[in-house]
Amino acid sequence: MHTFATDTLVLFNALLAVYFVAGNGGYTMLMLSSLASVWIHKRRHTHEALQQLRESPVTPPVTIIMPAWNEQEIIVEAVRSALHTDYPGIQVAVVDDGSSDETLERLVAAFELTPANLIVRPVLNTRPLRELYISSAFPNLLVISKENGGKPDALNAGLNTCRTPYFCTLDADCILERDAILRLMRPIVSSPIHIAASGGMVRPLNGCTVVSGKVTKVNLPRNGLERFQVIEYLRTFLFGRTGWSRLAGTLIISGAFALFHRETVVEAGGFNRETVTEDMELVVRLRRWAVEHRRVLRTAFSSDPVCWVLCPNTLRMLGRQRRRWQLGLCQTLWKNRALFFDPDFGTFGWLSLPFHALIEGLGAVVESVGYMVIPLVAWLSPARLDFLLPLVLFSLAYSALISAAAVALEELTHRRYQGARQLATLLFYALIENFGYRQLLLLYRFAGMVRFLRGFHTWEKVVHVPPAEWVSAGARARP
Amino acid sequence: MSYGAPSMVVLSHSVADFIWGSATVLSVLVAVLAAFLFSRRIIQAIALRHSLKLGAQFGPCIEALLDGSANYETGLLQLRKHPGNARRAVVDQVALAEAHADPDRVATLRKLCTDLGLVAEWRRQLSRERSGGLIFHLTKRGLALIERIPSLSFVARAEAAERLGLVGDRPSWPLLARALNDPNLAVRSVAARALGRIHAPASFPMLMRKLEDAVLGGDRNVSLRSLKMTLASFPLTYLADLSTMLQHPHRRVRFLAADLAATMMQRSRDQVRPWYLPHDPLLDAIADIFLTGLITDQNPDVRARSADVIAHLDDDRAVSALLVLLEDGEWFVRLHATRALAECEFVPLEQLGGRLTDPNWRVREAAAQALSAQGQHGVRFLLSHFRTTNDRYSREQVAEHIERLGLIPSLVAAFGDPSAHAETRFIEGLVRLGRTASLRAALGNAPEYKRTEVLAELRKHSDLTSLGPLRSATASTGSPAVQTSREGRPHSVS
Repeated sequence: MHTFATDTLVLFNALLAVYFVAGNGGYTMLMLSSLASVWIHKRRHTHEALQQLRESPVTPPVTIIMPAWNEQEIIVEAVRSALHTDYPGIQVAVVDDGSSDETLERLVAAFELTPANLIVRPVLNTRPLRELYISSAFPNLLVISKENGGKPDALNAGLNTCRTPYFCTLDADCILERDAILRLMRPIVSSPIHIAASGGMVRPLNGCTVVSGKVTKVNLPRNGLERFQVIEYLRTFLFGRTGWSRLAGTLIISGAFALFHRETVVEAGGFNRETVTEDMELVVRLRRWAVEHRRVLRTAFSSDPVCWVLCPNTLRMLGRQRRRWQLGLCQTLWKNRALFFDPDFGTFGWLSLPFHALIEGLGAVVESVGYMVIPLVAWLSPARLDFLLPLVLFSLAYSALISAAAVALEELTHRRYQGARQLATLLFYALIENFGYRQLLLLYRFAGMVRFLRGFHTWEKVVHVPPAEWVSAGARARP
Repeated sequence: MSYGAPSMVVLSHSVADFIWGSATVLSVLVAVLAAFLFSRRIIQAIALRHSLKLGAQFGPCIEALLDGSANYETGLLQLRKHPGNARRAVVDQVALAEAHADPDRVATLRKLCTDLGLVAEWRRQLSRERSGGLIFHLTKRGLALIERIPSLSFVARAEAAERLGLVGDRPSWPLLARALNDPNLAVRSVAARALGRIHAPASFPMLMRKLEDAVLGGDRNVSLRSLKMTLASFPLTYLADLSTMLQHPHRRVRFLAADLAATMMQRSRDQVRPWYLPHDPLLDAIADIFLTGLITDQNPDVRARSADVIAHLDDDRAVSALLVLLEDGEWFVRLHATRALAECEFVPLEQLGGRLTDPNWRVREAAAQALSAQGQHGVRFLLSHFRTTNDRYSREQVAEHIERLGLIPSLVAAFGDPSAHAETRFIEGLVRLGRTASLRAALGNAPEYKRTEVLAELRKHSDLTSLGPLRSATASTGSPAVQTSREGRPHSVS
């Protein structure tokens, strides 16, 4: 029995080592692929190209679609930032998804909205609309009030009213940088191949100063939990998204901030509620649609269009967010399991999907079991600890290196965090991220996995606590 | 314990040692990375101070040269005294950053960059030529790291192309044209953009051929949009060069040429309405092609784009040509013709109003917009049409447009006035259609007497079933806008 247990542990150690090599090898590949790409992208793209986009009548018009549910504290600032976007002919459609708080009232008051019987010709099914609002002061703003149907439903309602060839999804708790949409459009205009979706960088807004819908000062948050998320976002976007984009294996374009080709999305069926991460599900479905209809289609990711988003600042909210993300990932991967290793899908099929399934999806289970095995090893076969402990330490050190490399890339390119103290703080948190925070996320991911296996499908709402100055702006906007 | 156990233990220890060693190396790497980042900051802070010092030293001189307030030769002599890297850095900082913002200074900037040798250097970078030997380049101070790595040299080529475009160096256009076939997409895009800034006369036909190749031959080197953006940025005088393509045997080429003409005119026109293409023998010849040939082109896309161009032709035949297109069999041709008529000065309202009952909703919508663009006469026509037509879709379209124009409050204010018959009938018609959202809000904000007057008048019509919700919504407290939304009324769809 003892020998059997020991042999099992030996086997597990070997599997863990293989998993470690595959996972960290993958991240290394993404990191190397991204390093030069982000640096060159930053160096290459100057103001001049944006100026041409701004002035040219060839630049396609865009509608920002902003779904909102119970966002009374921040909705006015978010819409204000969307309206002040530096993009020719921008349209903004806010979809109030049956809010039970004062979201709609604050919008009506802040933007002088009046109801109007506009003609809507729906191409996608949604929950019934209650009212449409327009504003004489903001003629490019449309507010749609509808019965609650969830974020995908709200996005589809926005799509039904969208008249521009491209639309940008934007969460109601986001602040868009003024030239963000111009930067999102740049790869679309310059690419000879049809780009159906273009994603940008999402950065944590926590700690930053916001005035009139604009980030005026970039600061690190004070809360350690939020600081860890800053590191995570840097790593995810500068390495993960950039790397996969270069390899044509993009699985996720963040729904908080993404530009899509309207006709392609409508033809593919719009957003659907089959998963709790409708953005990821759409990107995969677009690829399937392209292959099925023999169309050439690309997705793009750039690190310079920036959207600032509030991150969870409590463990409870963080848990909700991460459980949902893991649940959505598992749902999407399971739904599209037929695409795994399908040669028709290129890198996406044979590399990206399996990687996300094995490392991001199952990784929660493997790592969790790995941590549980250590005390077992210590009890059954202390000698094995000589191998296992260094492996774990090496893995954590390597992860710390990757996080530190992400901070380095940020420092070498965009450098939004200007102060030396901020850099030191980022490096410190990059190093300690894997000693506590990572394990915490593991718990949430594991819970998300369990939810998937149990067939859960609930959207856990993450409640954000906006900065104080936003609260006062929202209060001023009350009727 | 098995026979091979001692060797397994040794192997396990070796692996463990290796892993410990690797972990140590990683830790050292992280420390080195941190040290590198901080020292880089220090170096950059020093470089920034040096750069500011250079800027303070050279900046006023360059500014004075660009302004024309200093003697050019004297200023140039002063600049030449200092090292080339410093000069280049300051020109980049001071001058090129502002080039897009102040085109008037571009000519002087170009001359300055030429005399300082920068233009020649950029041309060399773009053509991938190098002066001096490899060792010279590897050791030459200030040479960017990227130029030393062949696979990254495209960055230098792209930057060179961009700078040549910013200074408007026309003689460089052949190099930029060649760069349209560069292996790297970034270089190709930048080269296209630079050609659009330079406007070298000989480059326009070359770009047109490139566009043609993209359409006919599937040449995917540069995106169609980039090419179109570049071509559209050329002055209107280049429209004359489109004549051959406008009469090309291939329908797609004709469409592209017509589309390009429309885009160039859209870009060039000013805010004053109406705007017309200036008269010029060559441009008049182009106008003739549109007025006599393209309006009957077999490709409906060409006919549609022709409408956009004809709208801005100062020609007696223009309106009649648009009226012909207004009756076209294809809806999108009618759509473009309708929109084009909105741009014209004298528009026959009756014919334009005929599109209010078009089978396609986009054309109906465009007709409503075009009529309202005619001012008071157009709005009165819309109100009159609303009253007289039996076409429900047309009435809904007009109602929507009147709402979008924000005219409901003024119509409510005029309600009941003996001289405001059309306005009164419109309000009644709106209620009859069940489109009371904006009316509720307008009544909610109107004085009590007006509310009473409107409701009393509307009550006389027994067929107005929407009166109930209207009455209750305006009678209750709170914002009528939000309150009725909470009732959960489904929105009408046509």
